[in-house]
Amino acid sequence: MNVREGKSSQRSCLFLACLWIGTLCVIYTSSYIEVSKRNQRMLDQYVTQYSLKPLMMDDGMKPKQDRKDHRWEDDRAYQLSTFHSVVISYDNEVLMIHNNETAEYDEDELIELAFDLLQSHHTTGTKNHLIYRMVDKEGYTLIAFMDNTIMQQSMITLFRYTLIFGGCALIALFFLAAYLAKRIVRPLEESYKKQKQFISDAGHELKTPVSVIGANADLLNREIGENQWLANIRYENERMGILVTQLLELARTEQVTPQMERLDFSHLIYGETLPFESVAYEKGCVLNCNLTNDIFIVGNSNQLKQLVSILLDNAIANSTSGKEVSLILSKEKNHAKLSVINEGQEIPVQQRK
Amino acid sequence: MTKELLARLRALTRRNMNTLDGILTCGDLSLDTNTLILTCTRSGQNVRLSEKEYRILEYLIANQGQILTREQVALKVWGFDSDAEYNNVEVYMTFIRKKLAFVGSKTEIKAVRGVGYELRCYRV
Repeated sequence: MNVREGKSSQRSCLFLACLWIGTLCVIYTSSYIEVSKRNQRMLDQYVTQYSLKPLMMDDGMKPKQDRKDHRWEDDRAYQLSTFHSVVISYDNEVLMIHNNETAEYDEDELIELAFDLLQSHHTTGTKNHLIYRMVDKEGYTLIAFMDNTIMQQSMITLFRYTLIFGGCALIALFFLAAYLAKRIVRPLEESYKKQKQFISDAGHELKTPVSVIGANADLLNREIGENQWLANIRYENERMGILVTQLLELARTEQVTPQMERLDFSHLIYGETLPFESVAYEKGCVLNCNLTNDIFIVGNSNQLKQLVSILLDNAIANSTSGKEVSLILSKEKNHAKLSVINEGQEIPVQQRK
Repeated sequence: MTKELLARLRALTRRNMNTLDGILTCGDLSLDTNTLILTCTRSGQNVRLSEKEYRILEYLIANQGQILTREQVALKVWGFDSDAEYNNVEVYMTFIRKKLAFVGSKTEIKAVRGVGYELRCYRV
């Protein structure tokens, strides 16, 4: 019993840990997805607002500084984000580079990156901390980059600390939970054990007086001959003996978890039927077996044997002489079906439970 | 004289061998006289016998190799005063044969036509 409960508590602990980790994963992925989407949107905004024409009309190739739209002016995130862009004409000529003041990448690096992307034909994606988007505008290709470093770094930091502290907390929690569970369960377990012990002890203690009474009553019976009161004593004592045996049986069967094994159910039933053939014959009944062969089930052979023999015993004992007692084993959708049918006196409705 | 003595001794020792601690053995069969459980020593399978089946089989084992008439069996198992038909003996022989087959024993109950039955042990 201990082993089994230990296993189940371990399993529930594992389940809780999984639940916790799962929740964290959901939170992190959803926030990551949302932030990425926002970044993508900002990049989209940047791309749609980007236009080369006015610059060329104004003063040629000078990079334009105030591309930030009035609509987005109040969005601080947009304003604070770093964008880079490279404009390439259809004949692979770099028309313009806008490298934001922060010189994380120099112009050559950006151009190289832009050409790489141009060849790879991916219109959107991520590359070395940069989210990029490639758009075909009239007459030229715009490749816009947005710096993603801060977001990625903060994500990584968050993840790392969650892993370290979360892991520590989880381990501490596990021990705490195990300790608490043990403390809570211990008295229950002890009382359960004591109860079992008591039943078992009481059964053994009661056995002796019952058998002594039985023996004495037998002796007395031999000495004084038939006596009504003595017969009562003997009868009740016998009943008492049976009850005590049942009590012991109960204590024993509940302590041991039955051994489950794969067994040939058809064979088992056939073996249990054989001893009843002569019983049925003596009673004048016909025992009719209809067993489907090779039905395998997982179970405890002793208990199953007991079950079959109890069913058969009752069926034969309560059957009308000359009638048939049928035992049918069939297979139904992954189940073995055992029917024991007899014909006898119908039990009055009032006596049925 | 000595020949007969030796034969009798052999018979005695054989009988004693069979009833060692309440277990009758015969070839690949072993029959527990306390629990009435018939076991085949070769396959390890066992089956419980009813009281009458047990008495018939015990009688057969005690007289293995000899032909027992239906009358003898009926007298031994059902007794004098019983008016058991010999048909009963036949029915019980079928039951015992079924059980022998179930435990996977090679020991057979041979029916000798018009005479009776004989237990032929399968020597291991």
